[in-house]
Amino acid sequence: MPIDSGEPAAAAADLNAALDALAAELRLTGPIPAPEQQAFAAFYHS
Amino acid sequence: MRISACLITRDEARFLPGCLRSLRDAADEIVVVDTGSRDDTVSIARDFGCTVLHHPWNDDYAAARNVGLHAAGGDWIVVIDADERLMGGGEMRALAAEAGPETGGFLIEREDVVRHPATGRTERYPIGMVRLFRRDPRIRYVGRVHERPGDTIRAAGYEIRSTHRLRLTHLVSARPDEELAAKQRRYLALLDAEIAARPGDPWPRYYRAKTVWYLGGHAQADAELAALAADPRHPGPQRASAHAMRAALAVHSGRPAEALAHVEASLAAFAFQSLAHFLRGEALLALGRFDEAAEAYGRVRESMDPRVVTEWIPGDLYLPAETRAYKLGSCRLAAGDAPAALAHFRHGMAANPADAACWFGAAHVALAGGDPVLGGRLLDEASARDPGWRTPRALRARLAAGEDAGTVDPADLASPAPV
Repeated sequence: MPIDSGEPAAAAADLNAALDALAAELRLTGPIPAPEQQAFAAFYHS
Repeated sequence: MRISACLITRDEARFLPGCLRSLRDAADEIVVVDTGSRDDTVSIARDFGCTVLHHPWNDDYAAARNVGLHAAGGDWIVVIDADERLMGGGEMRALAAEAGPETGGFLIEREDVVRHPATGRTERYPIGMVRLFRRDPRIRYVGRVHERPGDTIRAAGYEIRSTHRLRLTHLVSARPDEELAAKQRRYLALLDAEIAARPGDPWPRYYRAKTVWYLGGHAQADAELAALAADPRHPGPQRASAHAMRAALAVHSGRPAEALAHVEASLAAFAFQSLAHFLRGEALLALGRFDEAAEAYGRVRESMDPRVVTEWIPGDLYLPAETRAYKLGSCRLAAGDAPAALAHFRHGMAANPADAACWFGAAHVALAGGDPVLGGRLLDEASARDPGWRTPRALRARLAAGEDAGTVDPADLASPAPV
Protein backbone atom coordinates (compact mmCIF):
# COMPACT_ATOMS: atom_id res chain seq x y z
CA MET A 1 0.00 0.00 0.00
CA PRO A 2 1.25 3.49 -0.75
CA ILE A 3 1.91 5.36 2.43
CA ASP A 4 2.14 8.97 3.39
CA SER A 5 5.73 10.06 3.51
CA GLY A 6 5.17 12.07 6.67
CA GLU A 7 8.19 14.14 5.78
CA PRO A 8 8.64 17.49 7.48
CA ALA A 9 7.38 20.46 5.50
CA ALA A 10 10.87 21.94 5.34
CA ALA A 11 12.26 18.85 3.65
CA ALA A 12 9.37 18.87 1.18
CA ALA A 13 10.03 22.51 0.34
CA ASP A 14 13.71 21.76 -0.09
CA LEU A 15 12.91 18.93 -2.45
CA ASN A 16 10.56 21.15 -4.37
CA ALA A 17 13.27 23.78 -4.74
CA ALA A 18 15.68 21.12 -5.98
CA LEU A 19 13.12 20.02 -8.55
CA ASP A 20 12.62 23.65 -9.62
CA ALA A 21 16.37 23.94 -10.11
CA LEU A 22 16.47 20.68 -12.03
CA ALA A 23 13.67 21.88 -14.30
CA ALA A 24 15.44 25.19 -14.91
CA GLU A 25 18.80 23.64 -15.65
CA LEU A 26 17.74 20.54 -17.49
CA ARG A 27 20.00 20.22 -20.52
CA LEU A 28 19.12 16.76 -21.66
CA THR A 29 19.19 16.15 -25.36
CA GLY A 30 17.73 13.13 -27.03
CA PRO A 31 15.32 10.51 -25.84
CA ILE A 32 15.66 8.82 -22.47
CA PRO A 33 14.23 5.33 -22.03
CA ALA A 34 10.82 5.49 -20.41
CA PRO A 35 10.85 4.48 -16.76
CA GLU A 36 9.52 1.09 -15.82
CA GLN A 37 5.92 0.59 -16.85
CA GLN A 38 3.46 -1.51 -14.96
CA ALA A 39 2.48 -4.37 -17.25
CA PHE A 40 -1.27 -3.98 -17.32
CA ALA A 41 -2.60 -7.11 -15.71
CA ALA A 42 -6.23 -7.34 -16.67
CA PHE A 43 -6.63 -10.52 -14.72
CA TYR A 44 -6.21 -8.69 -11.43
CA HIS A 45 -9.62 -7.20 -11.92
CA SER A 46 -12.93 -8.90 -11.44
CA MET B 1 -34.54 5.27 3.95
CA ARG B 2 -32.84 2.23 5.46
CA ILE B 3 -29.68 0.68 4.11
CA SER B 4 -28.65 -2.94 4.57
CA ALA B 5 -25.05 -3.98 3.99
CA CYS B 6 -24.62 -7.58 2.86
CA LEU B 7 -21.38 -9.57 3.05
CA ILE B 8 -20.39 -13.15 2.48
CA THR B 9 -17.39 -14.37 4.46
CA ARG B 10 -15.08 -17.28 5.01
CA ASP B 11 -11.99 -16.94 7.20
CA GLU B 12 -11.83 -13.17 6.85
CA ALA B 13 -10.87 -12.28 10.43
CA ARG B 14 -7.87 -10.33 9.20
CA PHE B 15 -9.85 -8.08 6.85
CA LEU B 16 -13.33 -7.94 8.36
CA PRO B 17 -12.83 -5.34 11.14
CA GLY B 18 -11.66 -2.65 8.69
CA CYS B 19 -14.55 -3.41 6.38
CA LEU B 20 -17.12 -3.19 9.15
CA ARG B 21 -15.61 0.05 10.44
CA SER B 22 -16.04 1.56 6.97
CA LEU B 23 -19.77 0.70 7.17
CA ARG B 24 -20.27 2.36 10.55
CA ASP B 25 -22.88 5.14 10.27
CA ALA B 26 -23.49 4.14 6.65
CA ALA B 27 -25.67 1.06 7.04
CA ASP B 28 -28.67 0.48 9.33
CA GLU B 29 -28.00 -3.24 9.46
CA ILE B 30 -25.17 -5.52 8.39
CA VAL B 31 -26.00 -9.05 7.28
CA VAL B 32 -23.05 -11.43 7.22
CA VAL B 33 -23.52 -14.77 5.48
CA ASP B 34 -20.71 -17.02 6.64
CA THR B 35 -19.90 -20.06 4.54
CA GLY B 36 -17.77 -21.98 7.01
CA SER B 37 -15.16 -19.84 8.75
CA ARG B 38 -12.70 -21.58 11.04
CA ASP B 39 -11.15 -18.35 12.32
CA ASP B 40 -12.72 -15.53 14.37
CA THR B 41 -14.81 -14.11 11.53
CA VAL B 42 -18.16 -14.98 13.09
CA SER B 43 -17.34 -13.64 16.55
CA ILE B 44 -15.94 -10.43 15.05
CA ALA B 45 -19.16 -9.94 13.10
CA ARG B 46 -21.35 -10.66 16.14
CA ASP B 47 -19.33 -8.33 18.37
CA PHE B 48 -19.87 -5.61 15.80
CA GLY B 49 -23.64 -6.12 15.97
CA CYS B 50 -24.04 -7.83 12.60
CA THR B 51 -26.76 -10.36 11.85
CA VAL B 52 -24.84 -13.57 11.15
CA LEU B 53 -26.33 -16.32 9.00
CA HIS B 54 -24.70 -19.63 8.17
CA HIS B 55 -24.83 -21.02 4.67
CA PRO B 56 -22.88 -24.17 3.84
CA TRP B 57 -20.56 -23.47 0.92
CA ASN B 58 -21.95 -25.11 -2.21
CA ASP B 59 -19.61 -23.80 -4.91
CA ASP B 60 -21.94 -20.93 -5.75
CA TYR B 61 -21.13 -17.33 -4.77
CA ALA B 62 -24.45 -16.00 -6.07
CA ALA B 63 -26.39 -18.46 -3.90
CA ALA B 64 -24.52 -17.25 -0.81
CA ARG B 65 -25.05 -13.60 -1.73
CA ASN B 66 -28.76 -14.19 -2.26
CA VAL B 67 -29.15 -15.65 1.24
CA GLY B 68 -28.06 -12.23 2.53
CA LEU B 69 -30.30 -10.35 0.10
CA HIS B 70 -33.28 -12.43 1.17
CA ALA B 71 -32.62 -11.69 4.85
CA ALA B 72 -31.94 -7.96 4.44
CA GLY B 73 -34.64 -5.58 5.63
CA GLY B 74 -33.44 -2.24 4.26
CA ASP B 75 -34.91 -0.27 1.37
CA TRP B 76 -31.57 -0.44 -0.45
CA ILE B 77 -28.73 -2.91 -0.24
CA VAL B 78 -25.01 -2.27 -0.47
CA VAL B 79 -22.84 -5.30 -1.16
CA ILE B 80 -19.25 -5.34 0.05
CA ASP B 81 -16.50 -7.90 0.61
CA ALA B 82 -14.34 -8.17 3.71
CA ASP B 83 -11.24 -7.03 1.79
CA GLU B 84 -13.00 -3.91 0.58
CA ARG B 85 -13.47 -0.56 2.30
CA LEU B 86 -16.39 1.78 1.65
CA MET B 87 -15.70 5.48 1.27
CA GLY B 88 -18.45 8.07 1.19
CA GLY B 89 -20.81 5.78 3.08
CA GLY B 90 -22.44 8.77 4.73
CA GLU B 91 -23.80 9.73 1.31
CA MET B 92 -25.59 6.46 0.78
CA ARG B 93 -28.97 7.27 2.34
CA ALA B 94 -29.22 10.56 0.45
CA LEU B 95 -28.20 8.87 -2.79
CA ALA B 96 -30.89 6.22 -2.37
CA ALA B 97 -33.49 8.78 -1.31
CA GLU B 98 -32.79 10.97 -4.33
CA ALA B 99 -32.93 8.10 -6.82
CA GLY B 100 -35.93 8.24 -9.10
CA PRO B 101 -38.30 5.29 -9.29
CA GLU B 102 -36.69 4.25 -12.57
CA THR B 103 -33.31 3.75 -10.90
CA GLY B 104 -32.78 0.25 -9.60
CA GLY B 105 -29.07 0.33 -8.87
CA PHE B 106 -25.84 2.27 -8.96
CA LEU B 107 -22.57 1.57 -10.64
CA ILE B 108 -19.85 2.70 -8.24
CA GLU B 109 -16.10 2.85 -8.60
CA ARG B 110 -14.01 0.19 -6.99
CA GLU B 111 -10.35 0.93 -6.84
CA ASP B 112 -8.36 -2.28 -7.10
CA VAL B 113 -5.04 -1.93 -5.31
CA VAL B 114 -2.89 -4.48 -7.11
CA ARG B 115 0.74 -5.52 -6.86
CA HIS B 116 2.70 -6.75 -9.84
CA PRO B 117 4.47 -10.01 -8.96
CA ALA B 118 7.51 -9.29 -11.16
CA THR B 119 8.34 -5.88 -9.68
CA GLY B 120 6.43 -5.76 -6.40
CA ARG B 121 4.98 -2.46 -7.56
CA THR B 122 1.59 -1.40 -6.24
CA GLU B 123 -0.82 0.44 -8.46
CA ARG B 124 -4.43 1.52 -8.27
CA TYR B 125 -6.94 0.88 -11.03
CA PRO B 126 -10.55 1.99 -10.65
CA ILE B 127 -13.29 0.00 -12.35
CA GLY B 128 -17.08 0.23 -12.15
CA MET B 129 -19.27 -2.31 -10.33
CA VAL B 130 -22.96 -2.44 -9.40
CA ARG B 131 -22.94 -2.65 -5.60
CA LEU B 132 -25.86 -0.51 -4.42
CA PHE B 133 -29.38 -1.47 -5.46
CA ARG B 134 -32.98 -1.62 -4.31
CA ARG B 135 -34.21 -4.40 -2.09
CA ASP B 136 -36.53 -6.08 -4.53
CA PRO B 137 -37.10 -9.83 -4.68
CA ARG B 138 -36.56 -9.68 -8.44
CA ILE B 139 -33.02 -8.39 -7.93
CA ARG B 140 -30.71 -11.26 -7.19
CA TYR B 141 -27.13 -12.27 -7.93
CA VAL B 142 -26.40 -14.52 -10.88
CA GLY B 143 -23.27 -16.61 -11.40
CA ARG B 144 -21.44 -19.27 -9.38
CA VAL B 145 -18.40 -16.97 -9.47
CA HIS B 146 -17.87 -13.35 -10.56
CA GLU B 147 -21.49 -13.06 -9.54
CA ARG B 148 -23.39 -9.95 -10.55
CA PRO B 149 -26.82 -8.38 -10.02
CA GLY B 150 -26.93 -6.10 -13.07
CA ASP B 151 -28.85 -8.39 -15.40
CA THR B 152 -31.71 -8.89 -12.94
CA ILE B 153 -31.91 -5.16 -12.19
CA ARG B 154 -32.49 -4.45 -15.87
CA ALA B 155 -34.79 -7.45 -16.24
CA ALA B 156 -36.92 -5.97 -13.45
CA GLY B 157 -37.35 -2.87 -15.59
CA TYR B 158 -34.95 -0.56 -13.77
CA GLU B 159 -32.09 1.56 -15.05
CA ILE B 160 -28.61 1.51 -13.61
CA ARG B 161 -26.92 4.84 -12.97
CA SER B 162 -23.37 5.69 -12.06
CA THR B 163 -22.31 7.71 -9.05
CA HIS B 164 -19.09 9.16 -7.69
CA ARG B 165 -20.50 9.75 -4.25
CA LEU B 166 -19.50 6.28 -3.09
CA ARG B 167 -16.26 4.41 -3.65
CA LEU B 168 -14.77 1.10 -2.72
CA THR B 169 -11.14 0.25 -2.20
CA HIS B 170 -10.26 -3.39 -2.85
CA LEU B 171 -7.13 -4.49 -1.01
CA VAL B 172 -5.94 -7.12 -3.49
CA SER B 173 -2.29 -6.40 -2.76
CA ALA B 174 -2.75 -7.16 0.93
CA ARG B 175 -3.08 -10.87 0.11
CA PRO B 176 -0.02 -13.00 -0.71
CA ASP B 177 0.49 -13.90 -4.39
CA GLU B 178 0.07 -17.60 -3.58
CA GLU B 179 -3.34 -16.94 -2.03
CA LEU B 180 -4.44 -14.98 -5.11
CA ALA B 181 -3.28 -17.76 -7.43
CA ALA B 182 -5.05 -20.42 -5.34
CA LYS B 183 -8.24 -18.38 -5.60
CA GLN B 184 -7.93 -18.29 -9.40
CA ARG B 185 -7.46 -22.06 -9.50
CA ARG B 186 -10.66 -22.49 -7.49
CA TYR B 187 -12.42 -20.06 -9.82
CA LEU B 188 -11.51 -22.14 -12.85
CA ALA B 189 -13.58 -25.11 -11.68
CA LEU B 190 -16.52 -22.85 -10.79
CA LEU B 191 -16.34 -21.15 -14.17
CA ASP B 192 -16.36 -24.49 -15.96
CA ALA B 193 -19.49 -25.46 -14.03
CA GLU B 194 -21.06 -22.10 -14.86
CA ILE B 195 -20.31 -22.42 -18.58
CA ALA B 196 -21.83 -25.91 -18.61
CA ALA B 197 -24.96 -24.63 -16.88
CA ARG B 198 -25.30 -21.41 -18.92
CA PRO B 199 -23.69 -22.09 -22.29
CA GLY B 200 -25.06 -18.93 -23.90
CA ASP B 201 -23.78 -16.57 -21.18
CA PRO B 202 -20.66 -14.63 -22.27
CA TRP B 203 -19.65 -13.59 -18.73
CA PRO B 204 -18.23 -16.89 -17.46
CA ARG B 205 -16.42 -17.41 -20.75
CA TYR B 206 -14.85 -13.95 -20.45
CA TYR B 207 -13.79 -14.54 -16.88
CA ARG B 208 -12.53 -18.02 -17.66
CA ALA B 209 -10.18 -16.60 -20.30
CA LYS B 210 -8.83 -14.10 -17.78
CA THR B 211 -8.28 -16.83 -15.22
CA VAL B 212 -6.50 -19.00 -17.78
CA TRP B 213 -4.28 -16.00 -18.57
CA TYR B 214 -3.57 -15.50 -14.86
CA LEU B 215 -2.54 -19.13 -14.58
CA GLY B 216 -0.14 -18.77 -17.51
CA GLY B 217 -2.10 -20.19 -20.42
CA HIS B 218 -1.61 -17.26 -22.78
CA ALA B 219 -2.36 -19.03 -26.06
CA GLN B 220 -5.41 -20.76 -24.66
CA ALA B 221 -6.70 -17.51 -23.16
CA ASP B 222 -6.29 -15.75 -26.48
CA ALA B 223 -8.15 -18.52 -28.31
CA GLU B 224 -11.03 -18.36 -25.83
CA LEU B 225 -11.21 -14.57 -26.11
CA ALA B 226 -11.14 -14.77 -29.92
CA ALA B 227 -14.08 -17.16 -29.91
CA LEU B 228 -16.01 -14.91 -27.53
CA ALA B 229 -15.26 -11.77 -29.55
CA ALA B 230 -16.43 -13.43 -32.77
CA ASP B 231 -19.69 -14.81 -31.36
CA PRO B 232 -22.50 -12.70 -32.84
CA ARG B 233 -24.94 -13.85 -30.13
CA HIS B 234 -23.19 -11.70 -27.57
CA PRO B 235 -23.87 -8.00 -27.00
CA GLY B 236 -21.36 -5.37 -28.11
CA PRO B 237 -19.94 -4.59 -24.66
CA GLN B 238 -19.01 -8.22 -24.02
CA ARG B 239 -17.44 -8.60 -27.44
CA ALA B 240 -15.61 -5.29 -26.92
CA SER B 241 -14.22 -6.56 -23.64
CA ALA B 242 -13.00 -9.74 -25.27
CA HIS B 243 -11.23 -7.76 -28.00
CA ALA B 244 -9.72 -5.45 -25.38
CA MET B 245 -8.44 -8.38 -23.33
CA ARG B 246 -6.83 -9.77 -26.49
CA ALA B 247 -5.12 -6.39 -26.86
CA ALA B 248 -3.96 -6.49 -23.24
CA LEU B 249 -2.66 -10.01 -23.70
CA ALA B 250 -0.83 -9.04 -26.91
CA VAL B 251 0.87 -6.09 -25.19
CA HIS B 252 1.70 -8.27 -22.22
CA SER B 253 3.20 -10.90 -24.55
CA GLY B 254 5.34 -8.42 -26.50
CA ARG B 255 3.13 -8.19 -29.61
CA PRO B 256 2.07 -4.52 -29.53
CA ALA B 257 1.37 -4.25 -33.27
CA GLU B 258 -1.18 -7.03 -33.01
CA ALA B 259 -2.67 -5.28 -30.00
CA LEU B 260 -3.54 -2.24 -32.09
CA ALA B 261 -5.82 -4.32 -34.34
CA HIS B 262 -7.63 -5.69 -31.29
CA VAL B 263 -8.06 -2.15 -29.95
CA GLU B 264 -9.78 -1.08 -33.17
CA ALA B 265 -12.04 -4.13 -33.08
CA SER B 266 -12.94 -3.38 -29.47
CA LEU B 267 -13.92 0.21 -30.23
CA ALA B 268 -15.92 -0.92 -33.26
CA ALA B 269 -17.88 -3.34 -31.05
CA PHE B 270 -18.58 -0.75 -28.35
CA ALA B 271 -17.20 2.79 -28.45
CA PHE B 272 -18.35 3.97 -25.01
CA GLN B 273 -15.29 2.84 -23.09
CA SER B 274 -11.87 3.87 -21.79
CA LEU B 275 -10.11 0.53 -21.71
CA ALA B 276 -9.33 0.32 -25.43
CA HIS B 277 -7.80 3.81 -25.43
CA PHE B 278 -5.58 2.83 -22.52
CA LEU B 279 -4.46 -0.31 -24.32
CA ARG B 280 -3.82 1.67 -27.49
CA GLY B 281 -1.54 3.88 -25.41
CA GLU B 282 0.25 0.85 -24.02
CA ALA B 283 0.77 -0.63 -27.49
CA LEU B 284 1.98 2.63 -29.03
CA LEU B 285 4.36 3.24 -26.13
CA ALA B 286 5.84 -0.22 -26.69
CA LEU B 287 6.13 0.53 -30.41
CA GLY B 288 8.00 3.77 -29.76
CA ARG B 289 5.20 5.93 -31.19
CA PHE B 290 5.30 8.25 -28.21
CA ASP B 291 3.25 11.22 -29.42
CA GLU B 292 0.41 8.96 -30.50
CA ALA B 293 0.66 7.05 -27.22
CA ALA B 294 0.29 10.30 -25.27
CA GLU B 295 -2.79 11.17 -27.32
CA ALA B 296 -4.32 7.76 -26.57
CA TYR B 297 -3.67 8.03 -22.82
CA GLY B 298 -5.24 11.48 -22.95
CA ARG B 299 -8.50 9.88 -24.10
CA VAL B 300 -8.77 7.61 -21.07
CA ARG B 301 -11.24 9.01 -18.57
CA GLU B 302 -9.99 9.73 -15.05
CA SER B 303 -13.12 8.20 -13.61
CA MET B 304 -16.50 6.84 -14.61
CA ASP B 305 -18.58 8.90 -16.96
CA PRO B 306 -21.23 10.60 -14.82
CA ARG B 307 -23.95 10.15 -17.43
CA VAL B 308 -26.58 7.47 -17.07
CA VAL B 309 -24.95 4.17 -17.86
CA THR B 310 -27.17 1.30 -18.84
CA GLU B 311 -24.40 -0.62 -20.55
CA TRP B 312 -20.69 -0.66 -19.90
CA ILE B 313 -17.95 -3.03 -20.82
CA PRO B 314 -16.76 -5.46 -18.17
CA GLY B 315 -13.41 -4.38 -16.85
CA ASP B 316 -13.53 -0.88 -18.31
CA LEU B 317 -10.94 1.10 -16.45
CA TYR B 318 -9.95 4.65 -15.69
CA LEU B 319 -6.67 6.36 -15.01
CA PRO B 320 -6.29 8.37 -11.82
CA ALA B 321 -4.54 11.71 -12.43
CA GLU B 322 -1.18 10.53 -11.11
CA THR B 323 -1.23 7.35 -13.22
CA ARG B 324 -2.06 9.34 -16.35
CA ALA B 325 0.74 11.80 -15.47
CA TYR B 326 3.21 8.92 -15.18
CA LYS B 327 2.18 7.59 -18.58
CA LEU B 328 2.35 11.03 -20.22
CA GLY B 329 5.70 11.79 -18.57
CA SER B 330 7.05 8.48 -19.80
CA CYS B 331 5.95 9.30 -23.35
CA ARG B 332 7.53 12.76 -23.27
CA LEU B 333 10.79 11.47 -21.81
CA ALA B 334 11.09 8.77 -24.44
CA ALA B 335 10.26 11.32 -27.13
CA GLY B 336 13.20 13.46 -26.00
CA ASP B 337 11.36 16.22 -24.14
CA ALA B 338 12.70 15.88 -20.60
CA PRO B 339 11.37 19.23 -19.30
CA ALA B 340 7.84 18.32 -20.36
CA ALA B 341 8.29 14.88 -18.80
CA LEU B 342 9.39 16.40 -15.51
CA ALA B 343 6.37 18.72 -15.58
CA HIS B 344 4.05 15.72 -15.98
CA PHE B 345 5.73 13.83 -13.14
CA ARG B 346 5.50 16.86 -10.86
CA HIS B 347 1.84 17.21 -11.73
CA GLY B 348 1.30 13.59 -10.71
CA MET B 349 3.25 14.08 -7.47
CA ALA B 350 0.98 16.99 -6.60
CA ALA B 351 -2.21 15.21 -7.65
CA ASN B 352 -1.56 12.33 -5.27
CA PRO B 353 1.49 12.84 -3.05
CA ALA B 354 1.09 9.33 -1.60
CA ASP B 355 1.61 7.58 -4.95
CA ALA B 356 5.14 6.40 -5.76
CA ALA B 357 5.26 6.28 -9.55
CA CYS B 358 5.78 9.94 -10.41
CA TRP B 359 8.48 10.27 -7.74
CA PHE B 360 10.25 7.44 -9.50
CA GLY B 361 9.72 9.16 -12.85
CA ALA B 362 11.19 12.38 -11.50
CA ALA B 363 14.15 10.43 -10.13
CA HIS B 364 14.63 9.03 -13.58
CA VAL B 365 14.85 12.55 -15.03
CA ALA B 366 17.22 13.70 -12.28
CA LEU B 367 19.56 10.76 -12.79
CA ALA B 368 19.59 11.15 -16.55
CA GLY B 369 20.08 14.89 -16.07
CA GLY B 370 23.25 14.34 -14.07
CA ASP B 371 21.99 14.97 -10.53
CA PRO B 372 22.51 11.71 -8.64
CA VAL B 373 22.00 13.37 -5.25
CA LEU B 374 18.53 14.57 -6.14
CA GLY B 375 17.88 11.33 -8.01
CA GLY B 376 18.75 9.35 -4.91
CA ARG B 377 16.48 11.42 -2.71
CA LEU B 378 13.60 10.98 -5.14
CA LEU B 379 14.21 7.23 -5.27
CA ASP B 380 14.02 7.18 -1.47
CA GLU B 381 10.74 9.06 -1.65
CA ALA B 382 9.39 6.53 -4.15
CA SER B 383 10.45 3.64 -1.91
CA ALA B 384 8.86 5.23 1.15
CA ARG B 385 5.56 5.39 -0.73
CA ASP B 386 5.67 1.86 -2.13
CA PRO B 387 7.97 -0.20 0.10
CA GLY B 388 7.35 -3.37 -1.89
CA TRP B 389 8.45 -1.94 -5.25
CA ARG B 390 11.87 -3.42 -5.87
CA THR B 391 13.03 -1.25 -8.79
CA PRO B 392 13.61 2.05 -6.92
CA ARG B 393 15.44 0.17 -4.19
CA ALA B 394 17.65 -1.64 -6.68
CA LEU B 395 18.49 1.59 -8.50
CA ARG B 396 19.22 3.31 -5.18
CA ALA B 397 21.58 0.49 -4.20
CA ARG B 398 23.43 0.84 -7.50
CA LEU B 399 23.73 4.57 -6.95
CA ALA B 400 25.05 4.05 -3.43
CA ALA B 401 27.59 1.53 -4.70
CA GLY B 402 28.86 3.78 -7.48
CA GLU B 403 28.43 7.31 -6.21
CA ASP B 404 31.71 8.34 -7.78
CA ALA B 405 30.28 7.61 -11.18
CA GLY B 406 28.51 10.95 -11.08
CA THR B 407 25.87 10.32 -13.68
CA VAL B 408 23.95 7.24 -14.67
CA ASP B 409 24.01 6.06 -18.24
CA PRO B 410 20.45 6.58 -19.51
CA ALA B 411 20.62 3.20 -21.19
CA ASP B 412 20.95 1.64 -17.75
CA LEU B 413 17.71 3.21 -16.62
CA ALA B 414 15.50 1.14 -18.86
CA SER B 415 13.97 -1.65 -16.89
CA PRO B 416 12.98 -4.80 -18.68
CA ALA B 417 9.26 -4.98 -19.23
CA PRO B 418 7.82 -7.50 -16.81
CA VAL B 419 6.33 -10.48 -18.60
